[in-house]
Parts: sequence; C-alpha cells; structure tokens
Amino acid sequence: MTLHTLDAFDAARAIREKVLSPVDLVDALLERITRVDGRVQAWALVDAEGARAAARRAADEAARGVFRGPLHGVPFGAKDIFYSAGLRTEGGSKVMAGFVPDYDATAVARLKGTGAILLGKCHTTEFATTDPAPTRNPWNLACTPGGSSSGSAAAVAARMIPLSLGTQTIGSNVRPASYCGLVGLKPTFGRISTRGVMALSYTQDHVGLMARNVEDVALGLSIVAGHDAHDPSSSRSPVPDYLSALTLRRPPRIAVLREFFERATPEVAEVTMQAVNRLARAGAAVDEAKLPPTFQAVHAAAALITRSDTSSIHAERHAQKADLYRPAIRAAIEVGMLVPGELYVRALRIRSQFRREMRPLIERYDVLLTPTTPAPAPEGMATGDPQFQTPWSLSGLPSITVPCGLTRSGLPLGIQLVSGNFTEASLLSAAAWCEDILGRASAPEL
Amino acid sequence: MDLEAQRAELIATLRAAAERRFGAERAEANAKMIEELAGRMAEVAAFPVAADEPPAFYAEPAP
Repeated sequence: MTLHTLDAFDAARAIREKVLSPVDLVDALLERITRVDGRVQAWALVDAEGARAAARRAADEAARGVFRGPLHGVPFGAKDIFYSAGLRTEGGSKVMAGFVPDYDATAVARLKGTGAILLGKCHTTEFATTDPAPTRNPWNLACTPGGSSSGSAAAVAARMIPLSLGTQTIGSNVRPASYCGLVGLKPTFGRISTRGVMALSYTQDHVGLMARNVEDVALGLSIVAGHDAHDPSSSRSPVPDYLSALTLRRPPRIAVLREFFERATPEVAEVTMQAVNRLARAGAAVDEAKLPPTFQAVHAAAALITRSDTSSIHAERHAQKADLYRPAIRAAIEVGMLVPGELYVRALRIRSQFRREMRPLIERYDVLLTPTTPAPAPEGMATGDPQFQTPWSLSGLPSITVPCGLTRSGLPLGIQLVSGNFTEASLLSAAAWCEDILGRASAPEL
Repeated sequence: MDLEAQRAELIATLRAAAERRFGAERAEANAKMIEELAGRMAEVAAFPVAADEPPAFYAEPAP
C-alpha cells in the first residue's frame, strides 16, 4: 500500500505502533499533491514547510512515547474559511486578499491539539456561497466536486489528505462529499464550534467533516465536537464516545422519504432504491414515511434566512469593497438587504414549526433516508443542487452521506441519513452498518 | 391574491427598493436574484404558521 492511500484511523494506528513516521506520511501526501493537484486544484495553500516541521515534532514525540491524541501525526485539510494562525485565509475572495489570522478556528485548534497536522487550506467557493472555486471532481475532471467545500472534498477523494473540515449553511458539506464518493457529516447545529469560521448565516452555519469512511468521520467528530466558551451557539450537551458507538452496529429502522426520490433523476432514484433493497435484505427494517406539511416551505424559509444573514454579516465589507466581490455573492448580499424583517421572523417561525412537526417522525425511526443529491455531479463550474440538504441545514438536524454506488457514467452517488438532534452516535452507527453492507467507494483514477 | 400575483407585485417593490438603494445598474444586475427572492418571499408570506409558533434561533437542547 502506498502511504497516500492510508485512511486517518489506519495512519494514526500505524504511527502509534511506530511502524509509520509522520514525516514519511507528510512527504508522501506532499508528493501526491505535486503529482495530481495541478489537475484537481483542491488547495488554496499548501503549508509544506509548516507541515514538515509539525511532522518532525510529532515523530520526535512518538519516538519518546508521547502521543498528544488519537490523530497524532495525521495530516488534515481545512476549507479556506477556517482561520489558521499565521496562514493566509482568504475565503476564496479578493475581499480577504492577504488576510492572515492570528488564531486558529476552534475546530482546527482542537485537531492540532490532538497532534493532527494542518497540511493546508482547501479551496472554497467565494465566502462559501456560489461563485465557484477552481477545483475539479477527481472522478471526472469535467465535473464539479460540488461546493462550497469543493477543495475539502476533492482533496480527500484524490488521496491528497485522509480527513478534512468543511462547512454547510445550505448543502455545502454533505453534497460535495457525495459528489466525490466520500462520507460527509453535517452534525447537529451547535455540536461543533464555528468560532474562527467566516460566517454566512448566524443560525445555519455548521462545521462538517469529510473522510473516506465512517470510522474516520467519527474519529474526527470525537475531537472537534463540544462546547466552546467563545461560541455562544455551541451546545453544552455532553459529547458521547462516537467510536465506541460504532461497535454497536445493528440493522437500523429506516424511513425512506419518498418525496426526495420523486425529485431525483430516474437513475439516482434507481441506484438509491437498489441500495435500500440491499439494506433491507441485510436486515434493516425499512418503511416509507411522509414529511410534515411545513416541508413545503423549508426551502423558501432557508433562502430568506441565509440571504438576510449574509447581508448582515457582509454589510460593512460590502460598503467598503463592493467591487471586489464576485457577481453571485455581491447580488446575494444586496438582495438580502431587501428582505423585510417581518418575513425574516416568519421564516424563523417556519423553521420552528418544521422542527416541531419532524419530532414524531424522527423519534419513530433510527434514521430517515434520501438520495444525497437529486443528480450526480454536473459538468462545468456550477456546484450543483443543494435542495436535498436544505431541510437539515435549516432545522439543524444531523445528516450524513454514505456512498451507495456509481452512475453508468462512473460518478459517485450516496444515501443521506438524517436523525434527531444530538444523536450523532446512533447516526454514525447506522451509517457504519450501511457502509458495511454497501461497501466503501473505490478510488477515482487520476 | 394568488402566489403568482403576489410575486409579481413583490418583484416590482423589490426592484424599486434596489434602485433606490444601489442604483439602476445594480438593480438590473440583481434582477434574476430579485425575482427568485420575490418568489421565496411570497411562499413564506403565504405559508400558514401556527399563531403561537416562536421564531427558532438555535437548535433544541439535547434529549
């Protein structure tokens, strides 16, 4: 096995058992980046020097039997809207050109605190909205990897990094993960601190994780989850042992949400139903369920909330540097300033109503299941349709995508699983069981 | 007023507001997004919300 193909958990174990040096692992990943990133363009910045220095420190510590935590010596990438102390962080925007934060985002700091090594910053759409990143999909370079966490997804899929941080305000973590054949988690709102992450919405921004298997995502979550005194929206609810939860794999009770299949292409619906049938044959209890009436209004409510929030967050910068914004985000900021307060509050009340109506459905099953995306990754630069993630970003419910097969043209598809607030342990357990049945995605040829 | 009529009225209102705030050129550049927003505003305005439903800002506490 070549080192760049090692997943996070396996790399961490090999380092702990002293059969792998963090220095060799970082060098292998840097070499992989040199070899393939000219085509994929996942990285906004590669901190080769900093990563090598961190790897040498990690190796020295390992030689002395000192391990800072479960990801000691394992490299990761972060979307370029995560602050990284001393490293340029531009959010894909000329507005932030040359900005170098003096502290790490909490999620980055927590990973580094357990010995993980920040290899660099992954390309994002401008400020995590829709003006695209240059990144291409490793499965087909003519296609988008999705967005806004474009580089975070492509870098993991192209074996340039085993684990990455992304974010999701509408559909920006789970969708690109699925387009690239990865496991991607958007946890409950408040589960991971958003401190030091360039904001887009006060109540819909989520930090997410991407990896090539469920175990690595669980490992990453176990490190970054938890209250942050600097982030008032971060939750104080206890953080369970997500890795232990994976040992409790059992066939889950699944509710298939038919509305999503009706909005998907025939091929996506067919591949996803084949996956559902395999899960049922393996022992999952599969039902069909209908979404509550307020589902009809969730996309409109989410649009009004994010437009208004984005305008508020960017108002001062827009007043000074409007011409530096690219067209889509500039329009979003300006149009968002026109949303009347009464309708903004009504959208927040629709969110509340949707959450309330979802509760009985969520409580009846272990997970709800949909296709992750209505179609595979489209060709071109546009980052695809986020509509299948919107209800969970709006409501804050956790969701995860697990690969479930390929289209006839060879593009990855996924199943999206959704569960109740702060039930990531059982969600990950169900996802791991599904992964066992459906198999992991293969590697794209590059 | 049906949704489509309300949307048309909202487009005109938003377009005028955009012109006042950002000028005619920006209002024109934002025309497509204004139309989309007007549709979303009409949907939100028309959707029935329970009278005692509070606005939700943050996720519910853990169970």
